[in-house]
Amino acid sequence: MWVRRLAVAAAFLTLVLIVAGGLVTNTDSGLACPDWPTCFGSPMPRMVGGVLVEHTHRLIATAVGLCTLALCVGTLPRRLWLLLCGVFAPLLLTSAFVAARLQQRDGSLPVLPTVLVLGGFAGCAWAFARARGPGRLSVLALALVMAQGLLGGLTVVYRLPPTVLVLHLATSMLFLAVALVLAWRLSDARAATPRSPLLWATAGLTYFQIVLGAAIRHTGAGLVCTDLPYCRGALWPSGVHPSVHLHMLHRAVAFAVLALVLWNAARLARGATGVVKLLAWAGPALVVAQIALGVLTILTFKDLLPVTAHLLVAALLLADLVSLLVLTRPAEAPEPAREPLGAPA
Amino acid sequence: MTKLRIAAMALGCALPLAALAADGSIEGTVDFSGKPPTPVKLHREADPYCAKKPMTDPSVLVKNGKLENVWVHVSKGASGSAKADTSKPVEMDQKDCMYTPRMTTAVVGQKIQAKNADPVLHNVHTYLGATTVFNKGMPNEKTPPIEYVAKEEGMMRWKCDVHPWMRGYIGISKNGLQAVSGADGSFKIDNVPPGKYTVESWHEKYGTKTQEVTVEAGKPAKATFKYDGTEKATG
Repeated sequence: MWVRRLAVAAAFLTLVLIVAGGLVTNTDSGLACPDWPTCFGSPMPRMVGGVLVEHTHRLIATAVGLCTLALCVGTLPRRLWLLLCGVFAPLLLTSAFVAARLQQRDGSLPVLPTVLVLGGFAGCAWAFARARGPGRLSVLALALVMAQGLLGGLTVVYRLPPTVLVLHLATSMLFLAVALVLAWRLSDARAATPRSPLLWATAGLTYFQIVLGAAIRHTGAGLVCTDLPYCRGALWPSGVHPSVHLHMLHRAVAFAVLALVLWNAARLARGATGVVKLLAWAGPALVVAQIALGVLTILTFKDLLPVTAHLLVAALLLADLVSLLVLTRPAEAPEPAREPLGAPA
Repeated sequence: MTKLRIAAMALGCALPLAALAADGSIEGTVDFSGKPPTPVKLHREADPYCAKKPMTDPSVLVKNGKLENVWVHVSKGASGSAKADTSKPVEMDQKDCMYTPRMTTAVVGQKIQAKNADPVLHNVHTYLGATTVFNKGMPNEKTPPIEYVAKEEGMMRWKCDVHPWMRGYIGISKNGLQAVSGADGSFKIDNVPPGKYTVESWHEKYGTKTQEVTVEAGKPAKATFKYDGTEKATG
Protein backbone atom coordinates (compact mmCIF):
# COMPACT_ATOMS: atom_id res chain seq x y z
CA MET A 1 0.00 0.00 0.00
CA TRP A 2 2.77 2.45 0.98
CA VAL A 3 4.57 1.71 -2.29
CA ARG A 4 1.52 2.66 -4.34
CA ARG A 5 1.07 5.88 -2.34
CA LEU A 6 4.75 6.62 -2.78
CA ALA A 7 4.50 6.10 -6.54
CA VAL A 8 1.56 8.52 -6.69
CA ALA A 9 3.52 11.01 -4.59
CA ALA A 10 6.56 10.62 -6.87
CA ALA A 11 4.42 11.30 -9.97
CA PHE A 12 2.85 14.38 -8.36
CA LEU A 13 6.22 15.63 -7.13
CA THR A 14 7.56 15.20 -10.66
CA LEU A 15 4.88 17.55 -11.97
CA VAL A 16 5.94 20.09 -9.34
CA LEU A 17 9.55 19.52 -10.33
CA ILE A 18 8.78 20.12 -14.01
CA VAL A 19 7.05 23.41 -13.17
CA ALA A 20 9.98 24.39 -10.94
CA GLY A 21 12.33 23.60 -13.83
CA GLY A 22 10.22 25.79 -16.10
CA LEU A 23 10.52 28.60 -13.58
CA VAL A 24 14.31 28.22 -13.58
CA THR A 25 14.37 28.81 -17.35
CA ASN A 26 11.65 31.44 -17.42
CA THR A 27 13.20 33.55 -14.68
CA ASP A 28 16.66 33.19 -16.23
CA SER A 29 17.93 31.56 -13.03
CA GLY A 30 19.73 28.59 -14.60
CA LEU A 31 23.15 29.88 -13.61
CA ALA A 32 22.19 31.46 -10.30
CA CYS A 33 24.21 28.69 -8.64
CA PRO A 34 27.63 28.67 -10.31
CA ASP A 35 28.53 25.15 -9.13
CA TRP A 36 26.89 21.74 -9.01
CA PRO A 37 25.74 19.76 -7.04
CA THR A 38 26.38 22.35 -4.31
CA CYS A 39 25.40 26.00 -4.69
CA PHE A 40 28.21 28.42 -3.79
CA GLY A 41 29.89 25.41 -2.19
CA SER A 42 26.99 24.81 0.18
CA PRO A 43 24.16 22.27 0.20
CA MET A 44 21.87 25.01 1.55
CA PRO A 45 22.87 28.46 0.26
CA ARG A 46 21.18 31.76 1.12
CA MET A 47 17.87 31.37 -0.68
CA VAL A 48 17.36 34.69 -2.46
CA GLY A 49 16.53 35.72 -6.03
CA GLY A 50 17.64 33.28 -8.69
CA VAL A 51 19.33 31.04 -6.09
CA LEU A 52 15.92 30.48 -4.46
CA VAL A 53 14.45 29.36 -7.80
CA GLU A 54 17.39 27.20 -8.92
CA HIS A 55 18.16 25.59 -5.58
CA THR A 56 14.48 24.87 -4.82
CA HIS A 57 14.43 23.00 -8.15
CA ARG A 58 17.46 20.98 -7.02
CA LEU A 59 15.90 20.22 -3.63
CA ILE A 60 12.64 19.00 -5.20
CA ALA A 61 14.73 16.88 -7.59
CA THR A 62 16.53 15.37 -4.59
CA ALA A 63 13.15 14.52 -3.02
CA VAL A 64 12.04 12.84 -6.28
CA GLY A 65 15.32 10.89 -6.34
CA LEU A 66 14.82 9.68 -2.77
CA CYS A 67 11.22 8.66 -3.57
CA THR A 68 12.54 6.64 -6.51
CA LEU A 69 15.13 4.88 -4.36
CA ALA A 70 12.36 4.01 -1.90
CA LEU A 71 10.24 2.69 -4.78
CA CYS A 72 13.12 0.38 -5.74
CA VAL A 73 13.25 -0.87 -2.16
CA GLY A 74 9.49 -1.47 -2.18
CA THR A 75 9.22 -3.21 -5.53
CA LEU A 76 12.43 -5.21 -6.00
CA PRO A 77 13.76 -8.40 -4.46
CA ARG A 78 16.19 -7.65 -1.62
CA ARG A 79 19.35 -8.66 -3.49
CA LEU A 80 18.54 -6.38 -6.38
CA TRP A 81 17.61 -3.30 -4.37
CA LEU A 82 20.63 -3.75 -2.13
CA LEU A 83 22.86 -3.80 -5.20
CA LEU A 84 21.05 -0.87 -6.80
CA CYS A 85 20.74 1.39 -3.77
CA GLY A 86 23.93 0.26 -2.05
CA VAL A 87 26.36 -0.06 -4.98
CA PHE A 88 25.25 1.15 -8.42
CA ALA A 89 23.44 4.37 -7.47
CA PRO A 90 26.06 5.55 -4.92
CA LEU A 91 28.86 4.66 -7.38
CA LEU A 92 27.16 6.60 -10.15
CA LEU A 93 26.29 9.65 -8.07
CA THR A 94 29.61 9.88 -6.21
CA SER A 95 31.53 9.56 -9.48
CA ALA A 96 29.33 12.23 -11.07
CA PHE A 97 29.93 14.62 -8.16
CA VAL A 98 33.68 14.01 -8.34
CA ALA A 99 33.62 14.49 -12.13
CA ALA A 100 31.72 17.78 -11.76
CA ARG A 101 34.14 19.05 -9.10
CA LEU A 102 37.18 18.19 -11.23
CA GLN A 103 35.59 19.65 -14.35
CA GLN A 104 34.86 22.90 -12.55
CA ARG A 105 38.47 23.05 -11.34
CA ASP A 106 40.33 21.93 -14.47
CA GLY A 107 37.88 22.72 -17.27
CA SER A 108 37.72 19.23 -18.77
CA LEU A 109 35.69 16.17 -17.87
CA PRO A 110 37.91 13.58 -16.06
CA VAL A 111 38.00 10.12 -17.63
CA LEU A 112 37.89 7.76 -14.63
CA PRO A 113 34.87 9.24 -12.81
CA THR A 114 33.05 9.49 -16.14
CA VAL A 115 33.70 5.80 -16.84
CA LEU A 116 32.48 4.97 -13.33
CA VAL A 117 29.27 6.91 -14.02
CA LEU A 118 28.75 4.75 -17.09
CA GLY A 119 29.54 1.72 -14.92
CA GLY A 120 26.72 2.78 -12.58
CA PHE A 121 24.33 2.92 -15.53
CA ALA A 122 25.53 -0.50 -16.71
CA GLY A 123 24.65 -1.79 -13.23
CA CYS A 124 21.16 -0.31 -13.60
CA ALA A 125 20.82 -2.02 -16.99
CA TRP A 126 21.87 -5.32 -15.39
CA ALA A 127 19.26 -4.88 -12.63
CA PHE A 128 16.64 -3.87 -15.21
CA ALA A 129 17.20 -7.11 -17.13
CA ARG A 130 16.71 -9.15 -13.95
CA ALA A 131 13.72 -7.30 -12.52
CA ARG A 132 10.09 -7.99 -13.39
CA GLY A 133 6.81 -6.04 -13.35
CA PRO A 134 6.72 -2.90 -11.16
CA GLY A 135 10.29 -3.59 -10.01
CA ARG A 136 11.50 -3.23 -13.57
CA LEU A 137 9.72 0.12 -13.84
CA SER A 138 11.36 1.25 -10.58
CA VAL A 139 14.83 0.45 -11.97
CA LEU A 140 13.99 2.35 -15.14
CA ALA A 141 12.74 5.29 -13.05
CA LEU A 142 15.93 5.24 -10.98
CA ALA A 143 18.15 5.22 -14.08
CA LEU A 144 16.10 8.07 -15.56
CA VAL A 145 16.14 10.19 -12.40
CA MET A 146 19.91 9.78 -12.11
CA ALA A 147 20.40 10.59 -15.79
CA GLN A 148 18.18 13.61 -15.24
CA GLY A 149 20.29 14.74 -12.28
CA LEU A 150 23.45 14.42 -14.36
CA LEU A 151 21.89 16.37 -17.24
CA GLY A 152 20.94 19.06 -14.72
CA GLY A 153 24.56 19.11 -13.58
CA LEU A 154 25.79 19.38 -17.16
CA THR A 155 23.54 22.39 -17.79
CA VAL A 156 25.38 24.20 -14.99
CA VAL A 157 28.88 22.89 -15.69
CA TYR A 158 28.66 23.70 -19.42
CA ARG A 159 26.68 26.96 -18.98
CA LEU A 160 23.27 26.01 -20.38
CA PRO A 161 24.00 24.28 -23.71
CA PRO A 162 20.69 24.03 -25.66
CA THR A 163 21.11 20.31 -26.51
CA VAL A 164 21.51 19.36 -22.85
CA LEU A 165 18.59 21.58 -21.86
CA VAL A 166 16.34 19.89 -24.41
CA LEU A 167 17.47 16.44 -23.23
CA HIS A 168 16.84 17.52 -19.64
CA LEU A 169 13.21 18.34 -20.45
CA ALA A 170 12.79 15.20 -22.60
CA THR A 171 14.07 12.99 -19.76
CA SER A 172 11.85 14.71 -17.20
CA MET A 173 8.77 13.88 -19.28
CA LEU A 174 9.92 10.27 -19.70
CA PHE A 175 10.39 10.01 -15.95
CA LEU A 176 6.91 11.45 -15.36
CA ALA A 177 5.48 8.83 -17.73
CA VAL A 178 7.33 5.96 -15.98
CA ALA A 179 6.33 7.20 -12.51
CA LEU A 180 2.69 7.33 -13.62
CA VAL A 181 2.78 3.87 -15.19
CA LEU A 182 4.26 2.56 -11.96
CA ALA A 183 1.58 4.28 -9.85
CA TRP A 184 -1.25 2.86 -11.99
CA ARG A 185 0.32 -0.60 -12.19
CA LEU A 186 0.73 -0.75 -8.41
CA SER A 187 -2.92 0.15 -7.95
CA ASP A 188 -3.75 -2.66 -10.37
CA ALA A 189 -6.36 -0.45 -12.02
CA ARG A 190 -7.60 -1.59 -15.41
CA ALA A 191 -10.66 -0.51 -17.35
CA ALA A 192 -12.84 -2.80 -19.41
CA THR A 193 -12.80 -0.24 -22.22
CA PRO A 194 -10.75 -1.38 -25.22
CA ARG A 195 -7.75 0.75 -26.08
CA SER A 196 -8.18 3.21 -28.91
CA PRO A 197 -5.95 2.06 -31.82
CA LEU A 198 -4.28 5.47 -32.17
CA LEU A 199 -3.62 6.06 -28.47
CA TRP A 200 0.03 5.06 -28.67
CA ALA A 201 0.55 7.29 -31.70
CA THR A 202 -1.16 10.18 -29.89
CA ALA A 203 1.05 9.80 -26.82
CA GLY A 204 4.13 9.50 -29.05
CA LEU A 205 3.24 12.59 -31.05
CA THR A 206 2.51 14.51 -27.85
CA TYR A 207 5.93 13.57 -26.50
CA PHE A 208 7.53 14.65 -29.79
CA GLN A 209 5.61 17.93 -29.59
CA ILE A 210 6.88 18.53 -26.04
CA VAL A 211 10.49 17.91 -27.09
CA LEU A 212 9.92 20.20 -30.08
CA GLY A 213 8.63 22.85 -27.69
CA ALA A 214 11.76 22.45 -25.58
CA ALA A 215 13.93 22.84 -28.69
CA ILE A 216 12.06 26.04 -29.55
CA ARG A 217 12.40 27.33 -25.99
CA HIS A 218 16.09 26.67 -25.71
CA THR A 219 17.14 27.80 -29.18
CA GLY A 220 15.29 31.08 -28.81
CA ALA A 221 12.79 30.30 -31.57
CA GLY A 222 9.72 31.05 -29.47
CA LEU A 223 9.21 34.49 -30.92
CA VAL A 224 10.61 34.11 -34.43
CA CYS A 225 7.00 34.46 -35.59
CA THR A 226 5.15 37.13 -33.67
CA ASP A 227 2.10 37.41 -35.88
CA LEU A 228 -0.86 35.06 -35.48
CA PRO A 229 -2.20 32.91 -37.05
CA TYR A 230 0.28 33.69 -39.82
CA CYS A 231 4.04 33.83 -39.61
CA ARG A 232 5.66 36.81 -41.29
CA GLY A 233 2.52 37.29 -43.32
CA ALA A 234 2.34 33.72 -44.72
CA LEU A 235 0.72 30.52 -43.58
CA TRP A 236 4.16 28.87 -43.69
CA PRO A 237 6.86 31.26 -44.93
CA SER A 238 9.48 29.99 -47.34
CA GLY A 239 13.15 30.88 -47.66
CA VAL A 240 13.43 31.55 -43.96
CA HIS A 241 15.80 30.46 -41.19
CA PRO A 242 15.37 26.84 -39.92
CA SER A 243 14.22 28.18 -36.53
CA VAL A 244 11.12 29.60 -38.25
CA HIS A 245 10.33 26.15 -39.69
CA LEU A 246 10.83 24.65 -36.23
CA HIS A 247 8.38 27.15 -34.80
CA MET A 248 5.83 26.50 -37.56
CA LEU A 249 6.20 22.74 -37.14
CA HIS A 250 5.31 23.16 -33.45
CA ARG A 251 2.17 25.07 -34.43
CA ALA A 252 1.20 22.47 -37.05
CA VAL A 253 1.81 19.49 -34.75
CA ALA A 254 -0.42 21.15 -32.13
CA PHE A 255 -3.38 20.76 -34.49
CA ALA A 256 -2.42 17.19 -35.35
CA VAL A 257 -2.36 16.40 -31.61
CA LEU A 258 -5.74 18.07 -31.18
CA ALA A 259 -7.23 15.98 -34.00
CA LEU A 260 -5.81 12.74 -32.59
CA VAL A 261 -6.83 13.52 -29.02
CA LEU A 262 -10.37 14.34 -30.16
CA TRP A 263 -10.55 11.11 -32.15
CA ASN A 264 -9.33 9.11 -29.16
CA ALA A 265 -11.76 10.85 -26.83
CA ALA A 266 -14.69 10.05 -29.11
CA ARG A 267 -13.58 6.38 -29.37
CA LEU A 268 -12.83 5.88 -25.69
CA ALA A 269 -15.77 7.78 -24.28
CA ARG A 270 -18.21 5.62 -26.24
CA GLY A 271 -18.05 2.66 -23.90
CA ALA A 272 -16.08 4.09 -20.99
CA THR A 273 -17.17 5.12 -17.54
CA GLY A 274 -15.56 6.76 -14.54
CA VAL A 275 -11.88 7.67 -14.68
CA VAL A 276 -11.34 6.58 -18.30
CA LYS A 277 -14.22 8.73 -19.52
CA LEU A 278 -12.95 11.67 -17.49
CA LEU A 279 -9.39 11.25 -18.78
CA ALA A 280 -10.62 10.76 -22.35
CA TRP A 281 -12.43 14.11 -22.36
CA ALA A 282 -9.77 15.88 -20.34
CA GLY A 283 -7.40 15.37 -23.31
CA PRO A 284 -9.15 17.71 -25.80
CA ALA A 285 -9.76 20.28 -23.04
CA LEU A 286 -6.05 20.25 -22.21
CA VAL A 287 -5.02 20.60 -25.86
CA VAL A 288 -7.37 23.56 -26.38
CA ALA A 289 -6.02 25.19 -23.21
CA GLN A 290 -2.51 24.43 -24.41
CA ILE A 291 -3.07 26.08 -27.80
CA ALA A 292 -4.55 29.13 -26.05
CA LEU A 293 -1.49 29.28 -23.78
CA GLY A 294 0.79 29.00 -26.81
CA VAL A 295 -0.96 31.99 -28.37
CA LEU A 296 -0.70 33.89 -25.07
CA THR A 297 2.98 33.03 -24.87
CA ILE A 298 3.53 34.91 -28.12
CA LEU A 299 1.16 37.78 -27.37
CA THR A 300 2.74 38.43 -23.95
CA PHE A 301 6.32 38.03 -25.24
CA LYS A 302 6.90 34.90 -23.20
CA ASP A 303 5.65 36.25 -19.90
CA LEU A 304 6.27 34.05 -16.88
CA LEU A 305 2.70 32.88 -16.28
CA PRO A 306 1.66 31.70 -19.77
CA VAL A 307 5.05 30.13 -20.52
CA THR A 308 5.12 28.20 -17.25
CA ALA A 309 1.46 27.19 -17.60
CA HIS A 310 2.23 26.04 -21.18
CA LEU A 311 4.80 23.62 -19.75
CA LEU A 312 2.51 22.41 -16.96
CA VAL A 313 -0.39 21.71 -19.34
CA ALA A 314 1.98 19.85 -21.68
CA ALA A 315 3.01 17.61 -18.78
CA LEU A 316 -0.63 17.14 -17.74
CA LEU A 317 -1.58 16.14 -21.30
CA LEU A 318 1.20 13.57 -21.44
CA ALA A 319 0.15 12.29 -18.00
CA ASP A 320 -3.43 12.04 -19.23
CA LEU A 321 -2.47 10.00 -22.30
CA VAL A 322 -0.07 7.75 -20.39
CA SER A 323 -2.77 7.08 -17.79
CA LEU A 324 -5.21 6.14 -20.55
CA LEU A 325 -2.62 3.81 -22.07
CA VAL A 326 -2.13 2.01 -18.77
CA LEU A 327 -5.80 1.84 -17.86
CA THR A 328 -6.86 0.45 -21.22
CA ARG A 329 -4.02 -2.06 -21.50
CA PRO A 330 -5.01 -5.55 -22.59
CA ALA A 331 -4.94 -8.35 -20.04
CA GLU A 332 -1.44 -9.81 -19.57
CA ALA A 333 -0.52 -13.43 -20.13
CA PRO A 334 0.89 -15.07 -16.97
CA GLU A 335 4.69 -14.75 -16.74
CA PRO A 336 6.86 -17.85 -17.02
CA ALA A 337 8.22 -19.02 -13.66
CA ARG A 338 11.73 -17.70 -12.88
CA GLU A 339 14.30 -18.66 -10.37
CA PRO A 340 13.90 -16.29 -7.39
CA LEU A 341 16.75 -13.82 -6.79
CA GLY A 342 16.02 -13.33 -3.12
CA ALA A 343 13.25 -12.69 -0.69
CA PRO A 344 11.07 -9.73 -1.66
CA ALA A 345 11.22 -6.70 0.65
CA MET B 1 25.79 94.92 9.57
CA THR B 2 26.52 94.86 5.80
CA LYS B 3 29.95 93.34 6.47
CA LEU B 4 28.34 90.67 8.56
CA ARG B 5 25.92 89.83 5.74
CA ILE B 6 28.72 89.65 3.21
CA ALA B 7 30.71 87.40 5.52
CA ALA B 8 27.73 85.10 6.07
CA MET B 9 27.09 84.89 2.30
CA ALA B 10 30.74 84.14 1.62
CA LEU B 11 30.68 81.43 4.25
CA GLY B 12 27.47 80.02 2.79
CA CYS B 13 29.11 79.74 -0.64
CA ALA B 14 32.42 78.53 0.63
CA LEU B 15 31.11 75.66 2.76
CA PRO B 16 29.59 73.58 -0.07
CA LEU B 17 32.61 74.29 -2.26
CA ALA B 18 34.87 73.18 0.56
CA ALA B 19 32.79 70.04 0.97
CA LEU B 20 33.10 69.32 -2.77
CA ALA B 21 36.79 69.99 -2.73
CA ALA B 22 37.09 67.57 0.17
CA ASP B 23 35.64 64.71 -1.85
CA GLY B 24 38.01 62.28 -3.39
CA SER B 25 37.60 59.74 -6.17
CA ILE B 26 38.17 56.09 -6.86
CA GLU B 27 39.94 55.27 -10.07
CA GLY B 28 41.71 52.35 -11.55
CA THR B 29 41.53 49.65 -14.16
CA VAL B 30 40.02 46.24 -14.71
CA ASP B 31 42.78 43.84 -15.74
CA PHE B 32 42.33 40.59 -17.61
CA SER B 33 45.21 38.15 -17.37
CA GLY B 34 43.73 35.03 -19.01
CA LYS B 35 43.36 34.18 -22.66
CA PRO B 36 40.43 36.20 -23.93
CA PRO B 37 37.82 34.12 -25.75
CA THR B 38 37.81 34.47 -29.52
CA PRO B 39 34.78 36.56 -30.43
CA VAL B 40 32.28 34.22 -32.06
CA LYS B 41 29.88 35.20 -34.78
CA LEU B 42 26.39 35.94 -33.53
CA HIS B 43 23.76 33.86 -35.31
CA ARG B 44 21.26 36.52 -36.26
CA GLU B 45 20.00 34.84 -39.43
CA ALA B 46 16.51 34.19 -38.01
CA ASP B 47 15.59 37.84 -38.66
CA PRO B 48 16.47 39.06 -42.18
CA TYR B 49 16.84 42.67 -41.00
CA CYS B 50 19.31 41.76 -38.25
CA ALA B 51 21.14 39.33 -40.53
CA LYS B 52 22.11 42.19 -42.87
CA LYS B 53 24.81 43.31 -40.46
CA PRO B 54 27.10 40.49 -39.30
CA MET B 55 28.25 40.89 -35.71
CA THR B 56 30.37 39.08 -33.17
CA ASP B 57 29.55 38.40 -29.54
CA PRO B 58 30.49 41.53 -27.56
CA SER B 59 30.08 39.97 -24.11
CA VAL B 60 33.85 39.84 -23.44
CA LEU B 61 35.85 42.78 -24.78
CA VAL B 62 39.53 42.64 -23.90
CA LYS B 63 42.20 44.96 -25.30
CA ASN B 64 45.80 44.96 -24.13
CA GLY B 65 44.87 42.96 -21.06
CA LYS B 66 42.10 45.36 -20.00
CA LEU B 67 38.46 44.36 -19.68
CA GLU B 68 35.66 46.61 -20.93
CA ASN B 69 32.07 46.87 -19.70
CA VAL B 70 32.65 46.11 -16.05
CA TRP B 71 30.29 47.82 -13.62
CA VAL B 72 32.33 49.18 -10.71
CA HIS B 73 30.35 50.57 -7.79
CA VAL B 74 30.58 51.35 -4.10
CA SER B 75 28.55 48.58 -2.48
CA LYS B 76 29.21 49.32 1.20
CA GLY B 77 30.26 52.29 3.28
CA ALA B 78 28.46 55.09 1.42
CA SER B 79 25.50 57.02 2.67
CA GLY B 80 22.34 56.30 0.68
CA SER B 81 22.01 59.65 -1.04
CA ALA B 82 23.25 60.17 -4.59
CA LYS B 83 25.25 63.21 -5.63
CA ALA B 84 25.06 62.32 -9.30
CA ASP B 85 22.82 64.33 -11.61
CA THR B 86 19.69 62.25 -12.05
CA SER B 87 17.62 64.76 -13.99
CA LYS B 88 18.66 63.30 -17.34
CA PRO B 89 17.15 59.93 -18.21
CA VAL B 90 19.38 56.97 -18.89
CA GLU B 91 18.84 55.73 -22.44
CA MET B 92 19.00 52.17 -23.66
CA ASP B 93 18.58 52.02 -27.41
CA GLN B 94 17.98 49.05 -29.67
CA LYS B 95 20.03 49.61 -32.77
CA ASP B 96 21.04 47.06 -35.41
CA CYS B 97 19.39 44.45 -33.20
CA MET B 98 21.75 45.12 -30.31
CA TYR B 99 21.29 46.98 -27.05
CA THR B 100 23.29 50.21 -27.12
CA PRO B 101 25.12 50.82 -24.86
CA ARG B 102 25.69 47.27 -23.71
CA MET B 103 26.27 48.45 -20.18
CA THR B 104 25.48 51.68 -18.41
CA THR B 105 24.47 52.93 -14.97
CA ALA B 106 21.49 54.58 -13.29
CA VAL B 107 20.59 55.77 -9.83
CA VAL B 108 17.50 54.77 -7.83
CA GLY B 109 14.82 57.34 -8.68
CA GLN B 110 16.31 58.08 -12.10
CA LYS B 111 14.26 57.66 -15.25
CA ILE B 112 15.31 54.95 -17.70
CA GLN B 113 14.17 55.13 -21.32
CA ALA B 114 14.08 52.19 -23.72
CA LYS B 115 14.14 53.18 -27.38
CA ASN B 116 13.93 51.29 -30.64
CA ALA B 117 15.87 52.59 -33.61
CA ASP B 118 15.15 49.48 -35.69
CA PRO B 119 12.24 48.99 -38.11
CA VAL B 120 11.58 45.58 -36.53
CA LEU B 121 9.81 44.35 -33.39
CA HIS B 122 11.85 44.02 -30.23
CA ASN B 123 10.41 43.09 -26.87
CA VAL B 124 12.17 44.65 -23.94
CA HIS B 125 12.26 42.05 -21.18
CA THR B 126 14.06 43.34 -18.11
CA TYR B 127 14.97 41.49 -14.95
CA LEU B 128 16.26 42.32 -11.49
CA GLY B 129 17.52 39.02 -10.15
CA ALA B 130 14.87 36.44 -11.06
CA THR B 131 12.04 38.97 -11.18
CA THR B 132 10.74 40.53 -14.36
CA VAL B 133 10.73 44.34 -14.08
CA PHE B 134 8.79 44.89 -17.29
CA ASN B 135 8.22 43.06 -20.56
CA LYS B 136 6.89 45.20 -23.38
CA GLY B 137 6.95 45.09 -27.15
CA MET B 138 8.32 47.88 -29.33
CA PRO B 139 7.07 47.14 -32.87
CA ASN B 140 9.34 49.53 -34.82
CA GLU B 141 11.33 52.77 -34.80
CA LYS B 142 8.14 54.83 -34.52
CA THR B 143 7.26 53.32 -31.15
CA PRO B 144 7.43 55.91 -28.34
CA PRO B 145 10.08 55.13 -25.71
CA ILE B 146 9.22 52.97 -22.73
CA GLU B 147 9.88 54.88 -19.52
CA TYR B 148 10.67 53.35 -16.18
CA VAL B 149 11.87 54.89 -12.94
CA ALA B 150 14.55 52.82 -11.20
CA LYS B 151 13.16 51.66 -7.88
CA GLU B 152 15.69 49.17 -6.57
CA GLU B 153 19.43 48.85 -6.72
CA GLY B 154 21.05 45.92 -8.45
CA MET B 155 21.91 44.76 -11.94
CA MET B 156 19.02 45.27 -14.33
CA ARG B 157 19.39 42.76 -17.17
CA TRP B 158 17.82 43.48 -20.54
CA LYS B 159 16.77 40.80 -22.98
CA CYS B 160 14.89 40.65 -26.23
CA ASP B 161 13.09 37.32 -26.55
CA VAL B 162 12.55 37.89 -30.27
CA HIS B 163 16.32 38.18 -30.79
CA PRO B 164 17.86 36.03 -28.04
CA TRP B 165 21.42 37.31 -28.61
CA MET B 166 20.41 40.82 -27.52
CA ARG B 167 21.61 41.60 -24.01
CA GLY B 168 21.97 44.88 -22.15
CA TYR B 169 22.84 45.80 -18.58
CA ILE B 170 22.13 48.78 -16.34
CA GLY B 171 23.83 48.85 -12.96
CA ILE B 172 21.54 50.67 -10.54
CA SER B 173 22.85 52.04 -7.26
CA LYS B 174 21.38 54.18 -4.50
CA ASN B 175 24.49 56.23 -3.87
CA GLY B 176 25.43 56.93 -7.50
CA LEU B 177 29.07 56.08 -6.78
CA GLN B 178 29.63 53.95 -9.86
CA ALA B 179 31.24 53.76 -13.28
CA VAL B 180 31.64 51.38 -16.21
CA SER B 181 35.10 50.43 -17.43
CA GLY B 182 35.94 51.78 -20.86
CA ALA B 183 37.75 50.18 -23.79
CA ASP B 184 41.07 50.73 -21.98
CA GLY B 185 39.67 49.04 -18.86
CA SER B 186 39.80 52.27 -16.87
CA PHE B 187 37.10 53.67 -14.63
CA LYS B 188 36.72 56.68 -12.38
CA ILE B 189 34.15 57.30 -9.67
CA ASP B 190 34.00 60.98 -8.74
CA ASN B 191 32.61 62.81 -5.72
CA VAL B 192 33.45 60.13 -3.20
CA PRO B 193 33.49 61.50 0.36
CA PRO B 194 36.50 60.47 2.45
CA GLY B 195 36.03 57.14 4.14
CA LYS B 196 36.39 53.41 3.87
CA TYR B 197 34.37 51.62 1.21
CA THR B 198 33.76 48.23 -0.27
CA VAL B 199 33.97 48.55 -4.02
CA GLU B 200 32.50 45.84 -6.18
CA SER B 201 33.10 45.04 -9.83
CA TRP B 202 30.66 43.00 -11.92
CA HIS B 203 31.09 41.54 -15.39
CA GLU B 204 28.33 39.73 -17.27
CA LYS B 205 30.47 36.62 -17.88
CA TYR B 206 32.94 36.70 -15.04
CA GLY B 207 30.85 37.96 -12.14
CA THR B 208 31.79 39.84 -9.03
CA LYS B 209 35.01 40.88 -7.28
CA THR B 210 35.28 43.14 -4.26
CA GLN B 211 37.95 45.41 -2.80
CA GLU B 212 38.30 47.57 0.28
CA VAL B 213 39.26 51.14 -0.65
CA THR B 214 40.10 54.09 1.59
CA VAL B 215 39.42 57.51 0.10
CA GLU B 216 41.22 60.55 1.46
CA ALA B 217 39.98 64.12 1.07
CA GLY B 218 40.71 65.54 -2.36
CA LYS B 219 42.79 62.57 -3.45
CA PRO B 220 42.14 59.77 -5.92
CA ALA B 221 42.16 56.29 -4.36
CA LYS B 222 43.41 53.49 -6.57
CA ALA B 223 41.60 50.21 -7.19
CA THR B 224 42.52 47.47 -9.62
CA PHE B 225 40.25 44.53 -10.32
CA LYS B 226 41.83 41.43 -11.77
CA TYR B 227 40.02 38.77 -13.79
CA ASP B 228 41.69 35.75 -15.35
CA GLY B 229 38.79 34.29 -17.32
CA THR B 230 38.16 31.32 -15.03
CA GLU B 231 35.50 33.18 -13.04
CA LYS B 232 31.84 32.51 -13.63
CA ALA B 233 29.00 34.94 -13.28
CA THR B 234 25.78 33.83 -11.68
CA GLY B 235 22.28 34.48 -12.88
